Amino acid sequence: MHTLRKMRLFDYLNYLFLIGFSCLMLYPLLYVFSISVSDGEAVWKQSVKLFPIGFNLDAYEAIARANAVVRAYRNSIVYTVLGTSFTLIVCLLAAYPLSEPRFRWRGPVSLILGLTLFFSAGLIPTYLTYQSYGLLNTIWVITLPVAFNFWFIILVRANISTIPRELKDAARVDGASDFRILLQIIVPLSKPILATIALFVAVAIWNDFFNPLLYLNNSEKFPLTIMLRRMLIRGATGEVVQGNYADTLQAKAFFRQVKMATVIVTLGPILLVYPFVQKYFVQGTLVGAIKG
Amino acid sequence: MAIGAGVVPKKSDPRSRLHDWRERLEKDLRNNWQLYVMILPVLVGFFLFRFYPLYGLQIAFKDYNIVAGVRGSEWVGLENFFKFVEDPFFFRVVKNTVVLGFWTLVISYPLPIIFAVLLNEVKQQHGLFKRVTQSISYLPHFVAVVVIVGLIYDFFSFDGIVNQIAVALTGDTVRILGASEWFRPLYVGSVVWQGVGWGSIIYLAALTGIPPELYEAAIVDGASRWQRIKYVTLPGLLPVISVTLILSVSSIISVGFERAFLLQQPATYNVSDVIATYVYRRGLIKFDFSYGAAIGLFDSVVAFALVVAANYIVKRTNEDREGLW
Repeated sequence: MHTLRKMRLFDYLNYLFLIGFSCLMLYPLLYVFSISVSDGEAVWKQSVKLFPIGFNLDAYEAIARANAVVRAYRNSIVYTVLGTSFTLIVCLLAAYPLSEPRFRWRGPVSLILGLTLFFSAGLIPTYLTYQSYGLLNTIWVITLPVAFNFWFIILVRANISTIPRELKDAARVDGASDFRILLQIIVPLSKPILATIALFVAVAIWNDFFNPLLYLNNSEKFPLTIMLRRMLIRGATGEVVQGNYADTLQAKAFFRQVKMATVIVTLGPILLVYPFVQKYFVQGTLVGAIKG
Repeated sequence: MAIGAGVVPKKSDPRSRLHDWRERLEKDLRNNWQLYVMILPVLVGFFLFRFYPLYGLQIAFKDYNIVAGVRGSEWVGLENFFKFVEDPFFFRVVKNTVVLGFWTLVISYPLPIIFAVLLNEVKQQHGLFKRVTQSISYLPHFVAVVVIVGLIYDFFSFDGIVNQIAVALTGDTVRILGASEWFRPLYVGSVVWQGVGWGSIIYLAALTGIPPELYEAAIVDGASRWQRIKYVTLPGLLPVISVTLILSVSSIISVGFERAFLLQQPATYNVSDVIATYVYRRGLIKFDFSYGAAIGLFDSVVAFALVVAANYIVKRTNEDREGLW
């Protein structure tokens, strides 16, 4: 065991590499934060390289006053909460009958729904179909289709099958209905897997750019990701932030701070909960990997 | 239990059997109606959002027009596919997709394995260091692609941080954004930044399954560190590696839409226009729905064929003849 504990040259290099790797992962995020809170002057003189220089929250104030950003933020929250709720409801409604021996169609139904893991119609046919439903430009097109994911149903079903049968049988003998068993026995005992799924779906919807780009063209409905593209990639920060700004270097630098502040508030919810929920994410990937 | 197993029909008369079957179904509906109520909305949703769009896939073989709709449009057979093969941009988008997919695979596939192996070499007494490094490495996975690309636009612009460093080192500004030769490095680099840590999770899990006794025995036998990695760590990872390899091979032809779309500019189309972005532009922006659907179908068929081929090759090359299926 002695040799295993002793540090050698390789170990020092390895540790150095891993530390460098961590810095590479963190630096962009730190830099973005520093730009967003630094003094305006330090930003336009380009002296911010790592840590904030000075301190001011003007950029954050500007975002809070920018109706478009506030609206997009609200939309993102609504889409995320709603889409995640729908997903969990669908998972439970599907997984319970599909794990219940009394449901005689569970074989064929699993097989048919399972096909969706292998085939998808592709962008254009899906778009035309949703269009024919009149779903374009509605909140539903972002929150409903995402809920019908057989992969998550498999995870919940696998979890339900680990719950001892006796619990369900005892409840049934006592006269509990299926809905009551689902709500009072299955849901409390499935909390970890439901939390894992909720996290995955929530992050996916929060970060989704593709679906809003395809299905929404009314700026009232845009989520943050579409707003971020306008500001960061299309360079339209000036239109988004209200107020009169001269075409100066100072204004340009301020817009840059506004962009970075928008990135920070977008990442904010994820970064805040990340340390506490990380283990669910890791478990989730592993469950998925093993079952797959 | 199969449907109706264990119930022997009393008579072979078909009408009586139908009657029995109906009776059983009615009884089942009466007793288990709640299960049916639960599954019904699920079936409706899957039908509307997952299955019915497949019906619309027929427009790939039709000349879709908005007035006639999916059903009423005229059949044209494989015309849309021939049109794609003869398209002056066919070669360009297929080549761009494959080249981008290839470099992404070649560079971003092995890195999580290397990262996991290096992390595995961290001493047991430094568990905290290992955990913190792991946590930090997962973080970029949660950053939206649009944010990453947005930051690339900021960092690599003329007065961005990268050019500030370049000027300090060489005195010259480099034009990176909108330059074709930089598109692929930026694309692959952002995939790597985002995916190395997250991709390593599955390998790290596999590594925890290797019994520590194997390492101890290897040390007693005088194995060097490199020999331990080669003869203990890597063989322990091999089953996982073959699975992830099969799964990632199809990524060669299906380059994700978001990153390419956000990172590309008309000036870089010669390297950045991939099948997915071309489908979007032709199909939805220029309203050539049938053509877009046909290209999309072509893409998925090729991707599927690649997975099957990779599975076959892995089965052939490894000794246990084990593939994904």
